[in-house]
Amino acid sequence: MCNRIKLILLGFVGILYMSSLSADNTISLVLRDHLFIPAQLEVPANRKLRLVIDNQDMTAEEFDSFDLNREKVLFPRRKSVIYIGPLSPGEYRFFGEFSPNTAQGLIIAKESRDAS
Amino acid sequence: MLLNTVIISLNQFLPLGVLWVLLSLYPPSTLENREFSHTLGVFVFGLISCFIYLWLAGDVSQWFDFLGLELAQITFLCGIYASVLALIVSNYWLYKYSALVCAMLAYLSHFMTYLSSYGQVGMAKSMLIGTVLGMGLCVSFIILLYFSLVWVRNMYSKNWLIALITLHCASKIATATDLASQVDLISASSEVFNLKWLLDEYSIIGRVLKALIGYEASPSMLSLASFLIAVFVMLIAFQYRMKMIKIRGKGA
Repeated sequence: MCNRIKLILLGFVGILYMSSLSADNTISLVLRDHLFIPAQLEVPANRKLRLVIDNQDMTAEEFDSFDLNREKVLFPRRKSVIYIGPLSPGEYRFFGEFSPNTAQGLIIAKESRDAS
Repeated sequence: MLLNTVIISLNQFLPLGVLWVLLSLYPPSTLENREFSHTLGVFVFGLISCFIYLWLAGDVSQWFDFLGLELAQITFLCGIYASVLALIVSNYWLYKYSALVCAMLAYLSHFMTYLSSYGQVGMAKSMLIGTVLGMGLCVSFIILLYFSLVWVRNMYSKNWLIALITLHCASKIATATDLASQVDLISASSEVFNLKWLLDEYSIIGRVLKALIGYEASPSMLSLASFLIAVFVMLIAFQYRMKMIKIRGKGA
C-alpha cells in the first residue's frame, strides 16, 4: 500500500516536472491581420521548442517553413501547436502560405541562455 | 492572390492526380464503363467526405492537446499506403478507391480550407481564375504522365510503373513520419544530407519530383528510414503478387 502511494506521488512529481519543462520551452506567436506577431523570435539553440500559434484572424492560414520543414493549417480563432528543433544556431524563415506577402517571420536560434 | 492560388491548387491537386494516374494504370484496365462509374462515385463520395472533414477540421485540430489535425493527416497518408498495399496483395478493386478517398481527404480538404476562408472575403474572382489555371496545369501534367507511362509500359517494361507506384506510396509514409515529428509523437532526428544546392524541392522540377516520388532535398534520418522501409515492404508485396500470378498460371 505504502509503495503504491510512493509510486503515485513519484508519478505526480514526474508529470509536474515534465509540464514545467514544456512550459519553459514554449514560445507563443500570434497571427493577427495576416501578420505574425512578433515577426522575429529569438530562441535557444539545441533545444526542442513548443511553438503555440494563436490565429486571431477570421480566416485560416497555413504556417509554412522550408527551413524548419514544418507545415500546418491554422484554423481561424484557434490555437495550434508545432514542435521545432533542436535547432542549430542560425536563422529560420517562416511564412503564411495563404498570405505570403504579409505573414512572414524569422526564428533566430542563438547559443546564449537568455534567448527568448 | 491569383499566383498564390495557382501554386496552392497545383500543390494540392498534383499528388491526387498522380495517384489517380498510377492506380488507373494498375492493373491495366481504365477505360471500361464500370471503372468510369466507380471513379465518378468515388469522386462524389470523396468530395462529401472532404466537406464533412472541413466542417469538423477546426474542432479536430484542438483534439489530443492540439495534435488532432496531424493525427488525421497521418491516418489519411497511412491509409493511402495501406490501401495500395492491400490492392497489390489482394487485387481487390475496392482498395484502389479507398486510396483515392484517403488522398482526397489528405489533399483536397486542405485546398478547400483555403477556398472557404478566402472566398468569403471578396477575392472569389481571382481565386476562381487561379484555381482554373492550377487545375488546367495539373490536368495537362497528368495527361502527359498517363500517356508517357503507357508508352514506357508498352515499349519497355511495367517495372517502371511498379517502381513509380512504390516510390510514390512510400513517400506518404515519409511525410507521415515528418508530421509525427512535427507534433513530437516521435523525436526529431538530424538531416541525413542536403541537396538544396543541387535541386530545391520548392523549385518547379523539385515540386514535380516531390509529387511523383516524394523528393526531399534535406530529409531527416527517420523520414528516410521510414521511406526505405515502406519501399521494401511494397516491393515484397509486388513480389508476392508476381508469385501468385505465376502459381495461378501454372495451375491453369
